[in-house]
Amino acid sequence: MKKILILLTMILTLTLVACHQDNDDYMTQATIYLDGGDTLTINRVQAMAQITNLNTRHVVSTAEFNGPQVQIELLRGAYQINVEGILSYNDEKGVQHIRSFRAISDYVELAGTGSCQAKLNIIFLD
Amino acid sequence: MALICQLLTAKAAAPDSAYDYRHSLWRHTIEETLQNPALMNGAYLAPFTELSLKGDYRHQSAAFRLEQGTGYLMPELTARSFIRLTPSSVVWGEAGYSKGDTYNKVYNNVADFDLLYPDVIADSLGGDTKRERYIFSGGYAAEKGAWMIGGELKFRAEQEYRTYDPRMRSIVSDLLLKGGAARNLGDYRMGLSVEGNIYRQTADVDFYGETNGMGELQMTGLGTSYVRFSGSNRDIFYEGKGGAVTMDLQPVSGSGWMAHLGYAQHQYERLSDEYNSLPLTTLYRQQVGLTFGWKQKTADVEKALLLHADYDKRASDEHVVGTATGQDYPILTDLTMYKQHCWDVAAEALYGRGDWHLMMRVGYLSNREQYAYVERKMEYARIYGELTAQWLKTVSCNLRLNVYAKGGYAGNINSKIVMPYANMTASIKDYVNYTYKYQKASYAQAQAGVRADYQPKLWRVGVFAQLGTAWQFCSIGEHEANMHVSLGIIF
Repeated sequence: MKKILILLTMILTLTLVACHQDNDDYMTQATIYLDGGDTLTINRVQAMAQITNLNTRHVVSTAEFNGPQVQIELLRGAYQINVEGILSYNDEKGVQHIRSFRAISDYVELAGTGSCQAKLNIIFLD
Repeated sequence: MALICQLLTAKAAAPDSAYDYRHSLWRHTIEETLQNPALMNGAYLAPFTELSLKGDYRHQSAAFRLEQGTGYLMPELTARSFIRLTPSSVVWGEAGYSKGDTYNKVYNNVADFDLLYPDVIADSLGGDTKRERYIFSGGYAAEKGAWMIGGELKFRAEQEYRTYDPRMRSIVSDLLLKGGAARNLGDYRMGLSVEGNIYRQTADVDFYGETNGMGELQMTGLGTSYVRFSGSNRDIFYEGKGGAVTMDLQPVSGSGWMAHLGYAQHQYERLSDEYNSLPLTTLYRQQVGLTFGWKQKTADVEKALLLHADYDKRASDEHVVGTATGQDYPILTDLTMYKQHCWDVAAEALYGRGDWHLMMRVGYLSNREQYAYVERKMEYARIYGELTAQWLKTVSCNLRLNVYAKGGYAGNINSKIVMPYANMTASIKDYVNYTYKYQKASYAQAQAGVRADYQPKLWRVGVFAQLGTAWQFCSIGEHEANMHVSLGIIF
């Protein structure tokens, strides 16, 4: 009887251990940096960032830039990012400029748990 | 009321016959136990072989569940056998072939929807399908002293296809191996069984018409789809595996406390043929079933009170795919986007006296489905009651009758839907709303049937015929009609 109980306990334990654990950690706090290179310092950005999930095609937009970066909560995954707008920057001599720009990346992995980052190079449109 | 009066005044039960033991509603109290092959030694009182030709027909005035269509016509040829090799060992087996049609399936282009939901390939066109199924099973059980052991193998091969666009074709192979042991401990018999399952299905959808190149959706639950791999990606396959454990406690004498605990876990991975066997989703299904009760069997009366609790959970992981290098797609992470929780809690009372058996079941059924992001939810809960009556009559030494009738009602008590309607296409919106309309409805059912077994003493072979019908009425105003006919020989 004792052996049977031990066997039952072992089977029950094995069964519970084998249970699938749900992956419920869905979201990540993504930080997207605009990189203008070493020669300029970005002060302010007025732009719309359009972030498209490559697998679901779900599109999220934000314009809440803080300096050269924007933070947004996203479903963990692979994304395409398109940022277009105006930014003000200081060049290496400290002179301020305001110019139109675009920053695009066809593939960015924002799949980390907790937080993750992506850096986008900008090009000026004028 | 007349039925209850007849029941109470019925004469004392005749001694158990093999026929009564096999067909009586009382068998319901040991059905779960017989999932353990070690306990098959006492499954029937007499050996038999049965060959039967069956026909099942279902027609729904509108599909209660779009993915399963409006009905089917399935003729089936089956052979079953239970043979006692020695006083302490038995073998049993079954072989069957069925070929038929299902009607108006929409948003489902795979076989075994019940197993694979929600991870199916689908479109809004759908249509009728043809279905062909082969089943084989066999088992052996032996008893030595207080110990019993047994093993069983089951195999199913199935194909389902459509001969017009969209031309779906699914081919299924499903193998199940089971082993069990049991031991008598005083007045009780304790059993344990373990089973393993391997499953595979290839599913593809073709369009021959030049203008019919519409996209197929890789569904992921509650109207969502894996958009990146939908469209022209129409060749997929499923690889499944799983196992189950059951534990049983039954009184040796047939009277006393009884318990059954079952746990099963299966997983079905959906892979894309066209993307180098890329896994798109994995569905994890966990089922727990607990039955606890008490039963008493005397020469005159059979009584049982059973409590059931069944839990069924589906969780579908979407594999988040990165960008390809060559033909290799990296999996960045897995997210359990879809979950379904089903609860069925019920109490059953069974009473048998003489030729009559009555069974009443009342219960609570709850179904909750959710999709994590963008949030979608669909829920309903029902309270239901069912009453079944059976009259097993030995009319003469040649003729036996099994007459049964059942009535029931499931009333909706709660329902809820949350959908991002603004982001949904019109066709998916209609699909989701249609599904919800039938989920939150109430249903009434009525069924009746009769089986007659005829075997004069001089015949070595008996013949039987069965006719049954079942009706279901939905509060929306639609109905379902079922018809069952079978003819066969038994020896």
